[in-house]
Amino acid sequence: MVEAKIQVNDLNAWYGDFHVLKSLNFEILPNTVTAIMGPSGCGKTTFIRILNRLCDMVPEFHHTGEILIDGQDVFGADIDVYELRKGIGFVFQKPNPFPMSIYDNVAYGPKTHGMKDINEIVQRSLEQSALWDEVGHRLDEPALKLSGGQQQRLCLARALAVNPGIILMDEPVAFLDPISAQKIEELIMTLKRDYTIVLVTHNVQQALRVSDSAAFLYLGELIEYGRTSLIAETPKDPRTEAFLTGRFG
Amino acid sequence: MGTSKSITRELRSWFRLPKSRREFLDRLTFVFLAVIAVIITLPFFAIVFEVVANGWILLNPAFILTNMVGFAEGGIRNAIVGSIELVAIASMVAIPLCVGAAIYTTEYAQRGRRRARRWVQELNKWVIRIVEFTADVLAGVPSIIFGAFGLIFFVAVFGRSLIAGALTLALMMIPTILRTTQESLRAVPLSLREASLALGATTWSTSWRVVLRAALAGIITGILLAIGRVIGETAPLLFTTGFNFDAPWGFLDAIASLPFTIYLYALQGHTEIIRLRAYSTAIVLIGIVFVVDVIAVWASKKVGLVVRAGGV
Amino acid sequence: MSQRNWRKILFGASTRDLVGRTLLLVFAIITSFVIVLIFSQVWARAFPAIIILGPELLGPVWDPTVTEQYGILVFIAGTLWVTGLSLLIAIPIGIAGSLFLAEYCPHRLKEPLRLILILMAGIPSIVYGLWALYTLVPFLRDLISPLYIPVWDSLTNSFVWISMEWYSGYGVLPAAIVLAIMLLPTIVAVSYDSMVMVPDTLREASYALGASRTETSIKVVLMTALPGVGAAVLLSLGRAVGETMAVLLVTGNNTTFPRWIFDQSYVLTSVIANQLGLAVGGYPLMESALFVVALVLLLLSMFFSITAKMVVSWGMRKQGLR
Repeated sequence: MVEAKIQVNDLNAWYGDFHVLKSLNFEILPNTVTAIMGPSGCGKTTFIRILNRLCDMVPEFHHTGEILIDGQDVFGADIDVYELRKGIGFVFQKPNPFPMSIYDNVAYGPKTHGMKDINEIVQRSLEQSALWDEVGHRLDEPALKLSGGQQQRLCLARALAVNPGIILMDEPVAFLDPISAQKIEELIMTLKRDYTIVLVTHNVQQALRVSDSAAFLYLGELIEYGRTSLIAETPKDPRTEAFLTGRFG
Repeated sequence: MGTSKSITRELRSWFRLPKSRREFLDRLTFVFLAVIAVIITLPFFAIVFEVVANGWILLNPAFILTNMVGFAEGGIRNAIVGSIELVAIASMVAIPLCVGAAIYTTEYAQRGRRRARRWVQELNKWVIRIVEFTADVLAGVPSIIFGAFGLIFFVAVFGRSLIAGALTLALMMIPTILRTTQESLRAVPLSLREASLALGATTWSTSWRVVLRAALAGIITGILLAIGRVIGETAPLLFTTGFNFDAPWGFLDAIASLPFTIYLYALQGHTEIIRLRAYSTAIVLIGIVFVVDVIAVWASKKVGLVVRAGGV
Repeated sequence: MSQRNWRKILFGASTRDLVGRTLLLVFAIITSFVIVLIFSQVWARAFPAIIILGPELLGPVWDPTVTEQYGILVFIAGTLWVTGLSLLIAIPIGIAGSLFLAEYCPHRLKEPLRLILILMAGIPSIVYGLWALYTLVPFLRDLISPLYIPVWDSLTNSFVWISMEWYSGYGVLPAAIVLAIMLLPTIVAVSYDSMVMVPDTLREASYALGASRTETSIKVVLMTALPGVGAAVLLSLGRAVGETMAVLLVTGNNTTFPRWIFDQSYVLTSVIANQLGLAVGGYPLMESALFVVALVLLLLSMFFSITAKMVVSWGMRKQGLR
């Protein structure tokens, strides 16, 4: 029996009076890729923003229920948010490298946390995100000069540099061309050996290609959760089937 | 409901102990920066309090409605009316000039004549660049330079007079009015212009009847900001207006003004009555500037223009 | 051709468009021409002194009436002292203040604070001067006069404690303080603007890496906004050098070299304000020398305006934004 990496217990979330997430219950196993699917506005982005508590930035946000990561509640009274976030990498929808050099982008996290051997960390992270061959010889160039796909992989490298156990990805290929998107997908497949990956997407094909398990959210409710192949072949709920066949979203 | 909850959450997070060294540092930074913010605004309250506390003693209708008799007696009507005359004439010169130049750069040089010959387009591009660049440089020119220029250029022709002072002030108004007018003209949606041009109207009538009307609130904001800036200027008037115990309307007469009067009081020495009269005059001046600025900020909110401290 | 046709050509819509275009172009040219006119006039007036006096202009003594010496170095020294000290006070405080306003300020306080800054910038400089003259100068005099302050004594080559009983309250210190107060709204507002332009996605990226609020606001927000902050500093430098009325009233206007902050001084703008009116009456060489001072001011202000623009574009290129 494998211990769950992320355990969601009866999670409800609101922005002001708007009920975004309704009684979610599920668990995510370590070293898997979990796809969170659903039409726009179903709360998938909110869900992964709760996992690393980026939702704290929104003043109207409040919640009930709990999320356990490695058995610890992320909203627990004795949680140090900064340490929590260090353990969870986040890749955003739109590539958002800092307007600094490539090197400084990757080194930002490790330097912030006072880690040692920054040069090695930078090289390892860039290698992990398959970027080292392309930029290894020009680390001091501004990151914003890179192409969109390279920028997104740089953001991945930046997240990997602080040794997170979990990587959250919020539609990481939404703004990329097909070839760059394919590279990112390949990376996801290799990275799951070492990391637990939660991938938000509304692209069904992508979810089928890369994920082990999938959750389908609709209007804040968890409609279905299970092995991706099972859900794809025999969806239990008509709404899931409608989504998978492309009738909405 | 949402906000009250967030406030209680905020408060709760302040009253519990920090969970880590970095959270503690965060709070320390917050307190430190908040103290800095207080330090920055403190002089504002100190100065306003000082001026009002000293100046209100002499302030009464007679002080505002009668002319000065010597420096220590009478009111300051001549200075108030003089300031208004100076700024009114300066505005009458600067507004048409700047609005015209702004319309040329945004409506003709930038948008119009897409089918124009190549060299005309190039020329127009340069006109825009030069107009904007010179306006920005002009904005940085020290006010005393305007005074010195007014002395050798306008005073040489008109003598120390209302018109010489007003023209000098008009030059100082150019950058603010020009840049804000350009900004608000550019904010007018293209569809509005197209609608007018599609009906067969010329750029000229489109600019006047449609674009200018749509941008009017923004332009007025710019004019008010410029007025608020120059009505308090002393240095450009030092050599250009002379001084007058009355407030005549003759263009060639010497004229008093509020800031110049305050300056003369400051030079007069430190007797109590002069000090109080200086502060009373300052109340009137600050009052006018604040009213103009507040209206400008209010008008800018209506049109979504951002007013920032320190002008352009 | 009928009369109606002529009228159409002369007063028709397209003619009006052409005439209007030409008229507006003339207006645009006039607004640009103002700076050229100012520069050429100042240059023409300064020219005789540059020819006649030459290097004498850089002499240390300004005494146009008795010994007829026209050295403007003492004013440059005064301006350096006053603006240097005022920026030393205003820049760190101003940047910290804009960081507070952009990153830490509770929402409800933001608008009132911005309004206060706008009004602060609106207070006429003569009123700042009045306040400095009547309040700040006596305050500093009473505060500092009773003190004994260590001073480097060149005779004994060591620090000696000297009594400040003679301190008048005028000089570099009050001028720098009032100037710093006047500069703060500009520095805060301009740097605040460039900090607000920093996209939220960058802040989120930093938070997601586990950076704290302080680390995010300094390493990401301040660093990204640095070109704008640099421009704010340069703009305020230009204003500091050009500020006239407030400084005029409190420096003491003494033509000896200031050696430290308690000394009296005389700045570039003040000497024009005090002496130009007199000189134009019948001291042509003195007038011309004063226009050399004006030329220096004009060149400095143009230099700062242009450098401010260059810093912004250089910074954006460096960051890869352009």
